[in-house]
Amino acid sequence: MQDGLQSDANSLDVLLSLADLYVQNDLIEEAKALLKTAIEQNKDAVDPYCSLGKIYLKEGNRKRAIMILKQAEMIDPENKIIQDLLQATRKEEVVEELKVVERAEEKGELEEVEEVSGVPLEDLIKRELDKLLKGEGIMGIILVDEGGSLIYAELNLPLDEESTGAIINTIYNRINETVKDFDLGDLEEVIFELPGGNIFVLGTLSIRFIVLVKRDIHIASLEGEIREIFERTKAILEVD
Amino acid sequence: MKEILDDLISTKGVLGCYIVDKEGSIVDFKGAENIDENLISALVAEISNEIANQMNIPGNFSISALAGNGSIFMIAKKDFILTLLSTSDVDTGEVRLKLRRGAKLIAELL
Repeated sequence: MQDGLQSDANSLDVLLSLADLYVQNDLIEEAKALLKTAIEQNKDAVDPYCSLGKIYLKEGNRKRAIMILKQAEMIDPENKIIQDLLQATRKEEVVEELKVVERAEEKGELEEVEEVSGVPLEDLIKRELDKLLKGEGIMGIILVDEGGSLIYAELNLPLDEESTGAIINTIYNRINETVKDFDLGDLEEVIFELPGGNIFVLGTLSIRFIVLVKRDIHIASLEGEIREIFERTKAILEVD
Repeated sequence: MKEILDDLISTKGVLGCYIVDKEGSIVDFKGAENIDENLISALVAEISNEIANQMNIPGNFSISALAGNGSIFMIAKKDFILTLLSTSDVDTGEVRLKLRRGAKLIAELL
């Protein structure tokens, strides 16, 4: 039947529909084979990549999901479905690591977490923030709580991390009060454009995520990436 | 100066725009009646002074504060602060650009 469809119809829609039908009937291997054929026959179509990526995600095969979705991203970098699926693969990663922490917490074995997962919480944060620090023009990142106490910092500037974080937090809180005075809702983001560079501050009720950026870097080009890393940092810290 | 404020207020989503001196007094403004211009001028001057004192930056900086239901944008120059209140659906790029242009023109006028 599969061969007949491929040779007779040779239609991407038909192949996708059939693959979907296979998935619904738990014929996962058949669906995967069909989607791989669809990819071979329609190298510029992203839909079969997405469908295959979804199957790998459901199976918990994160590496294969990322691999196939990255190929789709190369075809259509702006495609929202691909971006959402890639985002889901990243969440999977964080969730897996958090599950290990939670299991150990339940057993009262928090100190053993580092051995079990191999990834302490601080390292998880560092790993996320290092990705951002490698970006062009990023001069430093400071993570503080709502009171201005330092959680994490990495600066490529001759500044005192604690006092810089505390000062920016004070100003952020002041702006937050002003925003509330005008019923504008909760403050989410502040961008300071200063003579020496720009400062992004993303905030929640309990943390401030401060990113120091060179002056000549275009703000809009970094905003998406900073937001993405902020969301993942929030997930690691389990704050909303 | 009115023309500059007219241009700013004509942007979709802008609720009010205000020129404030460093002491917190309104120089000129244009905006919705339900927004207390004296309150916003005082608060904006306070934030500007806070930045000047805490960060040791006396002037020439800008702030974009984006909240759930709206935003506040401000540009501080040597003698004044140009600020703008908007809804959350405002085009932030357009507003920033217009504010920068407006602040430059106001600096030439003052």
